[in-house]
Amino acid sequence: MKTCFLISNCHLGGLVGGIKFHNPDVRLDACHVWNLATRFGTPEHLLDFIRNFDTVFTMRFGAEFMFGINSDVIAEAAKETVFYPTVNFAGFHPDVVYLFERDSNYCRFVVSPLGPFNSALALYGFRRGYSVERTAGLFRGEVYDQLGYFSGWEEAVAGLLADRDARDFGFESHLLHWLRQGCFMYNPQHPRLGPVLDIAREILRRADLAVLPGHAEGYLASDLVPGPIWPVYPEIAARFGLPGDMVFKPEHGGQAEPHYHRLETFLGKSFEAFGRYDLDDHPCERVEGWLRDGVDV
Amino acid sequence: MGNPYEAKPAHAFWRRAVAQIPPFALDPVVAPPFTIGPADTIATAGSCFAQHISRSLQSQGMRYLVAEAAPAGMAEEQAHANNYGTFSARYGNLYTTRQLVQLFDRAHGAFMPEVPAWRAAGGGVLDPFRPQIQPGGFATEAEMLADRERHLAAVRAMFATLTVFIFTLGLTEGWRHEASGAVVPLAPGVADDGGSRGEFSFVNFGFVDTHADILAFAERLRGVNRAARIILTVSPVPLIATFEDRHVLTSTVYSKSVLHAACIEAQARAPGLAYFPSFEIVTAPINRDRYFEADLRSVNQIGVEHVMRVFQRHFVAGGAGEPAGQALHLSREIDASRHIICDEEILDR
Repeated sequence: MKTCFLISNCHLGGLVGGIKFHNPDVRLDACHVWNLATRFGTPEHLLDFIRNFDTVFTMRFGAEFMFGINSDVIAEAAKETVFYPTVNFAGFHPDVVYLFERDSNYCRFVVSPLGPFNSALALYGFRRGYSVERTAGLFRGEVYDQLGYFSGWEEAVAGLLADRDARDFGFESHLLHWLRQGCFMYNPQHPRLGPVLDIAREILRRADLAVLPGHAEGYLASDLVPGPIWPVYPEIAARFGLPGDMVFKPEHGGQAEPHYHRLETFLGKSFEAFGRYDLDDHPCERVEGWLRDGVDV
Repeated sequence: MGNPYEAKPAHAFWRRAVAQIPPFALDPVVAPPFTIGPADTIATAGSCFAQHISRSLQSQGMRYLVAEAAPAGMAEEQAHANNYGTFSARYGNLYTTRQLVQLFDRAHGAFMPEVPAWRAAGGGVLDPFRPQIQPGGFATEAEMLADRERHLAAVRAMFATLTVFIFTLGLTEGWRHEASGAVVPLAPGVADDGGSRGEFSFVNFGFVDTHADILAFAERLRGVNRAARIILTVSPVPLIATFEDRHVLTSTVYSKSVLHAACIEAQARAPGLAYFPSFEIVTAPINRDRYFEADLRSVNQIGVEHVMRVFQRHFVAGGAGEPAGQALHLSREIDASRHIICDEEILDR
């Protein structure tokens, strides 16, 4: 019976569920990549712990997450390592941008009503001094067309497949299957359950572990639903043959009731968020470009 | 020596042209024989699905011919209720190719069937050739006949003026007036009081009739308008009911197969005639049922947009249909976003 240790980001819950569903005999321990530091305290403790397992399943990550060691160091310590890809896909949500604080090495950023995800159009309206109402008027097909929102799909696909682990895991063919189910992302970072389960099954195969048959999607629920859900705007969704929405759902944790923001509420709260930060210190290359180029929408 | 398929292009292979592309990228058009330019005048007719095409062309600002406009002074709402502008003339739905040929002939005095007027349940007078064109019917038979004359004159003008005629083939099943052979769009008793039911019989046009009708219409149209070109498309909307003694699904597949085969065959024989694959786009397995409403008949707006996007890409000159505007440099943003950690992680930092 194999002992396995899983290191993951927000895919963690779905991966654990999928691995246990398809192979209940695997003795699995798991830790969120960001929780490694608090759980193990020092790199040595972590590496000693890892040596106890037959196989480590890990995404690739840089040194910024824990003690300055990265996933390659983990692999060197492990008896066997399966690197797996994560699903990071911006194709459905071309309006989402990230406002990182300068020189913070991606560690600090503007937190919008939907966490790290900000609307470029909202920021543009805020920077232009537009009202919430006028900014809401920017969310329409003609503006999306002018800003290139309909042309980001290929680049998003290329971005997904740029990761060699993604190619190794057959994301190219999985992508078509996921697409046929509809929008497969809650936001650019959080996949729905289907893609995560596909990764879980492939992890098992790569570790020479059995994948017992069964339709896991019918038994498991995504633990990412309480996270932020960014809508696929209707005009953009229509390009993908999907129904669209304008409902923005912030993260809701524990027993909290979810809130669903319609566009103007979301924009109002986004404006409040922008007002709390020094935006010169949290640059958005895309919106800065629009302002610099005199884009007028 | 290789096999004869080796030199075929990607669109000839199911895997490359259907199975391995994103559903929204399905594009079954190959080398259309002509395109539509800004100088073209477009007229449309056909089944319910043709109304989507009509609305879409008008909203895209193409030169859409309305040969039978509402009378001066008629409010827009009333004009809409009276089906002005639904199609290029006020013929209502033309479901079968036989209706189309007969409309042309009636407009040009080549076919003058004596089909008695129908009566609406409320007493109004209905034109059997377009029984739902006037809500509640006409006040008198004379009024109906006068309106029909105006209508047929508009149809004549339309066929003479259009440069592109888009016809959506909907059904093969229809109802025929036994004495005259005239085909009507609805079974007697559906929109009227059913008083003339005994005068009509059911007919289901097969391939031979449908194919011949298409060629006959194309020849007639070119007879009055040498420059006219025709685009045929098959409605993806299934039959709402069949009068055949068989399952409605079997009848639907039969009807659509006949219409489809007749279009493809006619395209090869008639000059200036193109086939556009609306049916394929909406019903392809790659799209499952996502382009249908809950009734699995009505095509939703998303499906219509896919159809019209492909139409514009291939049939509208310069209408690549591809997005323009600012370049979106998602790659850098995607790279940066890989470093993002989620809210629960922020709490733990």
